[in-house]
Order: sequence, then C-alpha cells, then structure tokens
Amino acid sequence: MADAKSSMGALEGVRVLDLTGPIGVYCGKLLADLGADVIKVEPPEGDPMRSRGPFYKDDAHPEKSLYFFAFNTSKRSVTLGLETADGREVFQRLVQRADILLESFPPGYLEGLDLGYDQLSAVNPGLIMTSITPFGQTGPYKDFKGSDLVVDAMGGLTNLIGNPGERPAWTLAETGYHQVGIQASSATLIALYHKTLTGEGQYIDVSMQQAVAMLVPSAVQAWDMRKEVATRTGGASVRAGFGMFRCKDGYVNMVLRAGPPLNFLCQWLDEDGLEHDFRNPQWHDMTFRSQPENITHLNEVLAPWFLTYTQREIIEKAQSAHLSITPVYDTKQVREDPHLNARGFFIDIEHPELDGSVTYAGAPYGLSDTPWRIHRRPPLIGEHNHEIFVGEMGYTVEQLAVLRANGAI
Amino acid sequence: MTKLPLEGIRVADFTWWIAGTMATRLLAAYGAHVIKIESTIQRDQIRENAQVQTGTASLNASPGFNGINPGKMSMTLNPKHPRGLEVARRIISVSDIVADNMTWGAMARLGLGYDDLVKINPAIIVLTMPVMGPGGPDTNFTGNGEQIAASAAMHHLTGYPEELGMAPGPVYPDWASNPYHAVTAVMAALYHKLKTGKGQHIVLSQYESVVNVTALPIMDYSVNGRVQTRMGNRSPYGAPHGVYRCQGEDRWCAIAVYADEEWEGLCRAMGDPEWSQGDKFGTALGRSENVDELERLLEQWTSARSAEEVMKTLQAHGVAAGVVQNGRDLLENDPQLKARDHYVRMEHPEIGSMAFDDYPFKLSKTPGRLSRHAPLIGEHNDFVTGELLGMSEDEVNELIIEGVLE
Repeated sequence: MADAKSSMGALEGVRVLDLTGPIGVYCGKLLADLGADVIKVEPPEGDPMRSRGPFYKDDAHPEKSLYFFAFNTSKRSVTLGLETADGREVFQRLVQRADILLESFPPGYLEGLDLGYDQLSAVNPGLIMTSITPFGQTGPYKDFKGSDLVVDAMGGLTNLIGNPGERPAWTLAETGYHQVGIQASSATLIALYHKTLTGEGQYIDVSMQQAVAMLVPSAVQAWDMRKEVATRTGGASVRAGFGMFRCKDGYVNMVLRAGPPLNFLCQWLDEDGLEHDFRNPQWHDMTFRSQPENITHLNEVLAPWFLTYTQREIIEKAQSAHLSITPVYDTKQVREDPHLNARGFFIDIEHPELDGSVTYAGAPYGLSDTPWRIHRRPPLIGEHNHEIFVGEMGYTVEQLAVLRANGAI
Repeated sequence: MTKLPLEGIRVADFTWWIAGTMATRLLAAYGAHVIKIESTIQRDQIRENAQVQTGTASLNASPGFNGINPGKMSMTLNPKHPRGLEVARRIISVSDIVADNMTWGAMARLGLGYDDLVKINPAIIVLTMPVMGPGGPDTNFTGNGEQIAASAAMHHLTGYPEELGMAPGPVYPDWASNPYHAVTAVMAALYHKLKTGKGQHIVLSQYESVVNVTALPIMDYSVNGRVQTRMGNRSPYGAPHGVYRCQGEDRWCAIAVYADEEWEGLCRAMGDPEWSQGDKFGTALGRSENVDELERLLEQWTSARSAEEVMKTLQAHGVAAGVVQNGRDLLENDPQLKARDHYVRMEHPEIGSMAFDDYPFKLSKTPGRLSRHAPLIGEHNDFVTGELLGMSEDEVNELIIEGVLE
C-alpha cells in the first residue's frame, strides 16, 4: 500500500466546490474520500454546521464539531462572502476551474446573487451543478423548509416507524439526509461520466422528499394495487421466527427460514433438552407462521432458551449452520465489533490542533485499484485560503488582504 | 432521443433480492444494458412474493420484483450445469461490469470470482456486495437488510426511549444506503477506467456501508464515550422537534424548530397564544428544559386542525413542517410529487398498470428513463444467445435440451 500509485483515488483530478449544508454534505464527503479535490466554500465566520454537536470532548468550539468532522473528511476549505461583489468575483473564478458544484441553498438564492446555473454555465459550460434541497427546485412546495424529520415525514418514511396506532417515531442518525446525499453522489458521477465522454456539463435538481419516497415502494404499492393504507408495525414480529430476541448479554435478530435452518434449530433445541413442536411440518409454512397465536407460541418457547446463551455463543453456532442469527448492536458495540476491528475498519486520523486523534468510520466500499481513503483531516475555517487563492489562482498577498478587509474572504 | 450517459455499458447482473438489484436499476435507467442472469431453479426469491401481494403464483407477477427491475433484460441459466456457467462466462466476456450480492465466496465457488473473471475480461469491473466483507471472524455470516441495520445500531437509534429499538422503516440498507453507495463506487470505477483503461474489484460490505450512516453517533462514543440512544422524535439541536397529532384518524404533522426566529414564526402562526409568550419558551434552553409542557400545548393547537392546514400555516411563517404522509398521500394527494412526476406508470403484461418511483434527480441534458417493464423470467434468452452471443439455432436447441437455459 506504500507506493504513490496505490494511494490515488478513483476521482483524482476532479475538482469540486462544496457549498452544502447538512442536507447535502455527505455527497461531497463521498467524492472527497474517492480522491476528488473537494473545496468547501464557507462563509467568513465559518460553516453554520460547525455549531452542531456533539463536540470533541464536549467543548462547543466551531473547530471541534464532530458533526462537521464526520461529513467533511478529505476536503479543503476556503472562506468567501458570496453576498459581497468581490466574494462573488472570486467565486466565479473558482467555478471556472471546477468540474462540479454542490449546493443546498433554498431554490432561487444563488440566482439572486447571479450565481445560478445559467450564469455559471456561461463561464464554464462543462460545469456539473448539483442542487440538493428538501423538495426540489420546482413544484408548489419548492420553497417549503425542511429538516431530516420533516422531509422523512413528507416522503412517507415516518408513517412506517413506530408502534401501530401510536405516535410515529424517528431515527437519530438523519437517515434521510444520508439517503439524499448518496443518491446525489450517484447522479453527479453519472453526469461526470457523461462530461468526460462529451465535454458537456449539466444541472442536477435533487429532491430529498423523492429520495425518501424511494424507501417506501411497498406502502405505495399497497395503495396502488390493493387500496390498503400501510402503517407502522413497530418492533413486533410479523412472522414467527423473525425478529429480536434477548440473550444473556444483549439482543440478537433471527431470520428463521424454512428448510435446513429450521431443522438445525430443532436439532439444537433437542440437544438442549427443550420441549417444542417445531418439527411439525406446518412450521415451514410462512402463512402458518404469520398467524398471531403462532408468533406468540414461538416467542414463548424460545424466549427463555435464548436467555441461556451469550450473543456471541448463539450467533456463532447458528451461523456455522446457515441459521441466520445476527447481533443487535448499540453504538459502543459497533465500535468494539471484532469483525470490524479485524478488518481495520475504523481509522484514527491525527488532529494536531487537538493534540490527539479522532476515530472515523472507514470505507463504505473497497476499490481494489483506487482505494477509498481519508486523504486529510477535515479542514479548519479557511485553512486553504492562501494555498488556493494565492498558490493556485494567482492572487497576490496584497489582494488577499484587501479581499479580507472587504469581508469577501 | 438523447443518448444516455451509460449507453454502451453492459452489466452482467447476478444480483437478487433488493440491495444489489436497486443499484443495477439505476444503471439501466441511465442507459446501461443490464442483463439479469437468473435461474428458474434457484430463483430470485422476490419473484415469489406475488402470492402475498396479488394472489397469483406467477413468477412474473410480483410487484416487489417488478418495481426494482424495470429497464433490464432477463436470461435464465442453470448454475448447476457446467455449460450454464460457460454461457455466463461468455456474457461476462462482452460485459463491462459484473454485479452480485451473494454471500462472500459464492461467486468464486461457481468459478466466477474476480480472479477468474479478469482472465476472461481483463478490464472488467466487478461489484461484489457481501453482507460482512472478508477478513474478519464474521466473514461468512448471512443476514438480510433488516439484520444488517440492527447490527449497525440503526434499531438502537430508532423508536421510543422507554422501549426496545426498532427498524428505521422499510429495510433501509436495501432501499437506501447500499444500492447508492454501490452506484457511487461503480461510477467512480467507470470514470477511472475511462481515464486509465483499468477495471477493478469493488467489495462493498453491506454492514460497513450502513455503519457509514450511523457514523456520527459512533464517533460520539469513540471520542466522548457517550452511547447515544433513541429519543422518539426529539433532536439534540432544538425544540419543539416532533410529530404532533392532528384532526382525523392517524393523522400527524412533523415540526422542527431550531432557531429563535423559527420559534417566533411558530408563535405567530398559532396567533401568539398567551402560553407561548414570555421567557419560559423564549430561548432554546427554555424550550428544551420545558419540552414536555411545550409539546403538550403545541399539540392542543395541532390536534384541532388538519395535518395539511398545520403544515401550510407553519410553512407560511417560515417553520419547517410536513404532513406524515402515507402511501395513499404519496400516490394521490401530494401536489409536489405530482408536479415533479415522481411516480410513473408502466404497463406490465401480467399485472397491468403499476406505479414506479422515478428518480429524485433529473440530469438536465441526459434525463434517465425507465424504458421498459421488468422482464418476464427468461424473456431475453433468445436475444442473449442469438443476437448478443451469436450462437447458432442448433447450439441453442442443444442447450435447451440439456437443461442449460433453465
């Protein structure tokens, strides 16, 4: 892994400007960790995302936001006041040398600054501009405000989380923001491929509501084909043998398929001297297993048995016979998971300013010839102003001082 | 019609169920020629859910299957017959991408592992999507998307604080993180191939793909030792942040307030009721400390109105609010999804008209399209053996007689 070539990312040489907030920021991270040169364009006072916690050692400082860290690996940072004339001029020059611009301002905001796609593509016809917003750039709700929860609700996801008849619930991991970010990176790279073949740039309008709606085709089909309104089912099993069970030291999740896995379970229960009726062939029938009394019966028989094993004991024995029982982890257990750690998944990145290192999640995918990599720790506010404005764009130190005095950088 | 970006790219698609299949669906929508390689003996089991949904046993009638396979071709091959694998290798030799989401090692055992395939096609891009990924004690684990989500702490982070965690809605890994991480990786590899002529092997651990979505709470543990736990609908970033009961049965509206000006907008939208004025709720700290009372009072206001009215009134005052929409709302009532043509209808020869999700993005100059309904099983055997591989009629007949094309 030591030679220079192997550390090249797949997107080496691709230049990206990243102006996104929480709704699109994951997209830029994906491109940056694949080797693109992603320059975060922050307002002079710093990206508002830097005020989001949690913070490094709980110190609420703009350069210690773990939220910012998590989504801004491998990026560089410049500061630009887009609402000043000088700031806009510098920005246009940055755009001239960029392949991709990512942004998540409310629709119309950049046009209002003469920085919309029409204006920017006039200076750089090969530009790919990806706009990521709660509801998209068109339609009656385009100006509606969104958040992860609000757009999850409008996309049909929230209605399917929680107990039946009770208040719908949410996931504390901003799953909708991630979903739209990953879809946006897929779309942007398809456009990059087209640009590489033809030289043609284009505009990509991404709607988070639609990204979330792609999670719930079963609910849409239930109405479309059967005129049924699908609702939430909570944590309860909908089929006997499918769901969470408590063991000695935590929880596991079982998917008890018919055939050999069920036969193996029966043999195991026999060995343990547990009385049961699961050898009866009807337990291989999923319709039988969907009946509430059979779900209850199986749970009553198996619940005390699961409690006699630790998570690891039960999982390893089950998986050795292709009986699919898997661990249910909390965040600590994921961090300590022997499989992830054997694979070297987590990565410690030095933060010299913090006198320490921060542990990051590793690759969402491995690419054999162009490995995924965190190329640098997340940037400080405007850390690369000099490097980019002077070193790469040719501004003089004096011009930089004037721009700074004008509030442009 | 515009030439789509991926025209000329061929995918030998061994994916099944959802996660891998949704990835190749997107490649097909943008012009790739996707040949789904199936078997009537070892079937994509999602073809079998027609019974539950439509009451027929046909392998072509599953709405689940048909929703995630539009734009693809289907070729059936018997994987237990040596000549079946020979035909598979011939398809791969004229493909750019091979995709599978089987258990780690399954393709290699068939003689279709990456090391075998580069011998046939040196510039091939192989996308492999095992559950866990090789090199650790749990390499050979099997699991479905729901189980993967639970291992990645998604269940731990979803639901009510006083109860056991639960699924974050319909199988998130399959519909959301894993297919699009896969497409992102494949497109990066295709770009690299365009620049260098080189293919490569992409190994996407479905578990690690999902851990990237729960990365921030895990980081909070690594750095601060804090184990974050589900909070219902509450957010660390502001209050009120939740889902509030509205008029009607099972009708709710989501509301998210972070900044003071959003709170002031909410107060104005409610007509500045007396309880909302003053210091108690006037600051972020006050709202968070008195959140139980705040939510109770807010819900008195929302529950006297329809969810749509709550949303529109709040949005008019600059507050993020959205109806908790169900499947019917999405398909029939939401004017935004309608205006954006999110759902498209296609005729399917066995199940008639069906609504499909179009993509949440349109590329302005090369918009993708769902060009044809999902293939019937084996629908394109003639095309693949004849037009694509140039087999003679005799050769094809021999394969049929030997049971290779099953």
